[in-house]
Amino acid sequence: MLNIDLHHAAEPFIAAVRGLEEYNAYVKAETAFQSDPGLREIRKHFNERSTELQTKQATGTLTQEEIAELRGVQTSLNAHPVTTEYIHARQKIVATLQECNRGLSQELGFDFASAAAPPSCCG
Amino acid sequence: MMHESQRQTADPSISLCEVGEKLGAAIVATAEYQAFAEADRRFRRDAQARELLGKYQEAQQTVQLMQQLRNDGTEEARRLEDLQKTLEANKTLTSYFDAQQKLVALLTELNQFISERLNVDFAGLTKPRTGCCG
Repeated sequence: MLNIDLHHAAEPFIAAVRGLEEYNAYVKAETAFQSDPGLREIRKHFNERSTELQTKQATGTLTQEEIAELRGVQTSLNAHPVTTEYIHARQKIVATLQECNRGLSQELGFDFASAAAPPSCCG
Repeated sequence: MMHESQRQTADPSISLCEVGEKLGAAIVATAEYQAFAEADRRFRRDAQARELLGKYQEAQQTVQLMQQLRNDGTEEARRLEDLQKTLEANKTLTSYFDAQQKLVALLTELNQFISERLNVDFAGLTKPRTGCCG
């Protein structure tokens, strides 16, 4: 259970972020990225082909044409307008949240995010 | 162009940077932060503790390097073990690590709370990128 004072201090912070235009644009773009039927279809195809080709690679039967085909699917995934919109919105919200983190960290005397982030591959 | 830190929130009387600073100030006021700040001050004043920690970290790197090079590091491992015991008996260092652990636990919990409400991993997205994470 979070310290009650911190809980109270976090509420205006959360409300301020939620009220930002870039936050709402990100939420919208993220929902579209997850649920767009066309994109889901390409992603499903990519995942299936990727699994198939990994098996072929393990047996040494993977061809250059198949690698090029998979790269083509990946390119169409990345170039899809819903994906590009999502990446753009994400970059904007990350920049804004980094600004929030800087304000917060300035008070602490160390980087809040580095101390509080869940462990990643870098620990 | 308006600087990011001056950006206004939905409430025009308060900037985004201000809400971040207010949350930072609330963290500074917690017992966990104060205990860590005190342990950190003690650590900075204690030259012996700083030297011991330096030696321990150096020995740790040597052991890791020996392992990577697949060399016999028995002697280095024994030295690291001895240093670990000395370190565990050092009051300045144990209280520093203890305070650090408690503060990190509090910050992690706060981040989880914020991240759940925003549906994005706040700290995960904003921490500086290093090494393998690119």
